[in-house]
Amino acid sequence: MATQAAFLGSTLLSPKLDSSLRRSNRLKTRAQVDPSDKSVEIMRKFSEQYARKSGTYFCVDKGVTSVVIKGLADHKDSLGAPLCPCRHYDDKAAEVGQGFWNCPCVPMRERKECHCMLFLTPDNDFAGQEQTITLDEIKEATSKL
Amino acid sequence: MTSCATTPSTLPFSPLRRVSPFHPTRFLNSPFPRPSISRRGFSCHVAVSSDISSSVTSEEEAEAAAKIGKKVRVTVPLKVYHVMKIPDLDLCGLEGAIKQYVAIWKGKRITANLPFKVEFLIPVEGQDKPVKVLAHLREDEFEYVD
Repeated sequence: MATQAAFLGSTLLSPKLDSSLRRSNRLKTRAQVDPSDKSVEIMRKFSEQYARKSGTYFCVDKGVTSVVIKGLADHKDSLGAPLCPCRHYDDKAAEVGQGFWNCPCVPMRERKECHCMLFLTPDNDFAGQEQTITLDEIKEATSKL
Repeated sequence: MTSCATTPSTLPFSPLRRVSPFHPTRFLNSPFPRPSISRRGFSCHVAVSSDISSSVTSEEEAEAAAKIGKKVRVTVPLKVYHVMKIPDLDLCGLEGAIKQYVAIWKGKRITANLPFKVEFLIPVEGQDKPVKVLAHLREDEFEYVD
């Protein structure tokens, strides 16, 4: 069921009315929580191993690689599977169940097409020379976000 | 309600009246047309959960089911790398049959951009049986074969 909460708030009513309105209108929103270190480490190892296996390389800008790995770890934590972090989904649970976008996604497995720019074929302009990335590199690149 | 003026006044905007400039009642004495009472505020839209039309109509399901089993031929150069026995395989010109439409799963819409799962039987040298290859295709990458 599609639910969207829209509320009108005012900061200029009298204190008494204001606070009661605020109490009733307050909507708890879940803040973006960082993925667990364990998941990041698992996805880091997976990325290195899959890059080796598929003969692909990480982006020259390791920040890109880091953000994608973190996104994969986040989905792994929240959904149970590393759903591609670079796409929008209507029903994430269904997507996980069906599996098309579970990393490595079908376009990557079959055609070596990774639009996240996590795994790049050697002929790609943005492909670097490396198939490795350290946890420190990931932490450093994503700490600025 | 904000506290009202201490001294009554007939002037519309007496400086002595301590009424919030944003309070709607300031317009009550105004000679100008009263605007619709709207509080100065903000609107915030938060998606609490999303399940926006991910259910599929029976029409769409029937349409998808009708395509299964149809024979197709690939019309674009298409390299796949997931076949163990044939490392670098170009599917262009090969014929196969649609096995599955993956964009519908258990009555739900999936955002797969290669929704047609096609099965090819490719003969390989040194082997009696042809190799079974499953590949995902887009609608514009193949044509139906009669």
